[in-house]
Amino acid sequence: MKPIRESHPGPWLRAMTTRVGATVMLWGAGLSAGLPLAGQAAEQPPDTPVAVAPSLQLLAQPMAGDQATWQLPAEYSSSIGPVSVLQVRPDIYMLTVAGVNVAVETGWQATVVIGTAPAETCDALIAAVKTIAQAPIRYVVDTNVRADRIGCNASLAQAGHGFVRTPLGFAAPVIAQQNALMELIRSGPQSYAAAAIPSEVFTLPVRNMYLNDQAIQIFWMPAAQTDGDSMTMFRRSDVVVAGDIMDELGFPVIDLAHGGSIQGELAALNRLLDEFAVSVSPKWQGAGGTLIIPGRGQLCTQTDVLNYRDMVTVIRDRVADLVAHGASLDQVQKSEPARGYDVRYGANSGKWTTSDFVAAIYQSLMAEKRGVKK
Amino acid sequence: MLINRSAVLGAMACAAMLVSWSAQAQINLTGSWRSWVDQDNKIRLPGPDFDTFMGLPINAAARAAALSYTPENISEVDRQCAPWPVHYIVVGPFPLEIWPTKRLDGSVLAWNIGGSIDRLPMTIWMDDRPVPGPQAANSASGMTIGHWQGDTLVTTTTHIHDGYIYRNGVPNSNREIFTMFITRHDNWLTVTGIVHDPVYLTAPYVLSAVFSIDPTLVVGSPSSMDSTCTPEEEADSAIGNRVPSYLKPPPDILNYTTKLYGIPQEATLGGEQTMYPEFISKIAGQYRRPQGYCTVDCCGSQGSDGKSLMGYNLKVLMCNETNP
Repeated sequence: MKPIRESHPGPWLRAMTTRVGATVMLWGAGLSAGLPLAGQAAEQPPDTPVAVAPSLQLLAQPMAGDQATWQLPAEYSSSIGPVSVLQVRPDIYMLTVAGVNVAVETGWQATVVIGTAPAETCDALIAAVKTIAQAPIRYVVDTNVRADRIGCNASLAQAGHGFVRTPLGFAAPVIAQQNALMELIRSGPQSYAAAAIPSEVFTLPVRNMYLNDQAIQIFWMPAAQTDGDSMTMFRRSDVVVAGDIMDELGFPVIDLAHGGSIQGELAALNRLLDEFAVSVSPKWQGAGGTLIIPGRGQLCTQTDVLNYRDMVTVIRDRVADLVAHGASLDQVQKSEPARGYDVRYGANSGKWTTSDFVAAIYQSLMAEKRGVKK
Repeated sequence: MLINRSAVLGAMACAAMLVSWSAQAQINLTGSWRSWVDQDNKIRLPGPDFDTFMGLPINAAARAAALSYTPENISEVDRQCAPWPVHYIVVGPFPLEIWPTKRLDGSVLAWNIGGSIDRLPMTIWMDDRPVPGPQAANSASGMTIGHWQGDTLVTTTTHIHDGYIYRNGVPNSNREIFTMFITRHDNWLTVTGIVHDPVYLTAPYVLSAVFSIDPTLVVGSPSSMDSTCTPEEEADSAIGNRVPSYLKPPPDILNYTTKLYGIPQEATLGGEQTMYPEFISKIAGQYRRPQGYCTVDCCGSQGSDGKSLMGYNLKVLMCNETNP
């Protein structure tokens, strides 16, 4: 980590005039095909029943014009009860309920639900999933085990139909990274139904599956928000479910008590940028590329992830500079290291305030300085 | 009484055509439009100085974000091919290429505005289609709908992703709503843009730009973004997941505009009050006219050659600078 310092306006003034580094040349070929339009059907066996509610018929209309390939296809959401449903790709939906996003991938073999929602929303969530599902819920994937993220584990699992019979019958298995299970055990699993407890844990860096004719990869993101976070990549659909590592509406929650760290959070965001989220290069960015479903907020593109990663990095750098100069937490808070970003991402009240975020960075960096192993 | 049915039908057809024509009495905007950057030249052409936010109704958060911004930020490999947001039509220096997308019956489904080498073309949908939901993704060009208000095309753009209003790092948020009023007067086009941003602006930011039609203008392909962009490693500070930013704005450039032009910092750092004429009298006592001739961007970046600035008496403006 190296804070950036500048003392001379020379580079600034030079760069203000023209971009000289990027190689730009006319490309005579026609425009690329762009993203598949909402409503284009995924490949599936012809005998697979497809249930689409009348309220979702709008989703089936290709609304973007053929010529506007520099624009993302217009994505129209519909509502099923209190659940907002946005079709991200032909086979992937982003469901929003009680302010959190839940990803659903559905095809001829399986419906996979990634990240669940607060317990009080389960009935509505299940109704929405069943409306769009082309096959039974086969798996539920936990992106972390925060209470608002596993509240519907049991309900969804029991509403599903796993491939194999277990002591819980044919309930859909709940997949999570092993540390997530351990965190849940430490926090008191007795408060959850048996079906809510992750039943398929993985210890390797990635858990691979191949369902609905596409590779599904669940990557462990160590010591990010917690030490049991994961991101899920749908390779054919080119969609990443980032979970709460990417919160389009707020600063990321760094849960130090459960193994989270600012460096792990940034490592996860950098990995998302470096390995998973790709823009439309060598075309100019802005239309298409990988789509990212964040834990909260709007559907994202690589540009959104880049902005978010930069924001977290800049605030981390500011706090790190103060830590390097021996500042106390109080001094760090008074210097307002989240300045410039607090209105966009911060909060002065609620479960996770700007002060909480700054304190978490400070404590995480201090722990690193002391050599505390995560 | 005999009625000439042919005459009646003909009259009805003419009336129908007139009504139809009247209902669709749209101005033809098609063409290549040269940008006259004598308006807000410093902002639109060379780009504003590091600490120049005058006339911008920014809040403290926007100011703080801009003061930590360095130009090396756009050297990040993932950012080099990122286009400017749609409001760059009136903030940037480039010409406009406007063309329609027509239905089979010849009516206009959408207007498209390209012409910039670093802004995505925008499509203005004229068919009253619904706006995507709040969860839909953003892009640099956003989602725009338009309608005619008399002879003025009024557009509204939403779903613009986080970016910059000015090239010195004044940010816009993805909550921005950008409105344009596009009016053609013979061979002139006036584009008035209004940026509404509840995150970073305390009041709407209004600015306009003037263009003239020029059939000889070559602006590349109609979309102008039908090109490739290959990022390279440009700056050490932006390689390897490092993010360039000023931890604290260096003092020498924080006072850059004040030292150069004698304009007090209270004005240079912007804010809603700096938009209004009465602010001039408020700071008049603090203004110190620079001694001698101006040396940097006094008369726009094209300055002293006397050719690019149309109609100005450069001697009166004391433009004797030598641009680097």
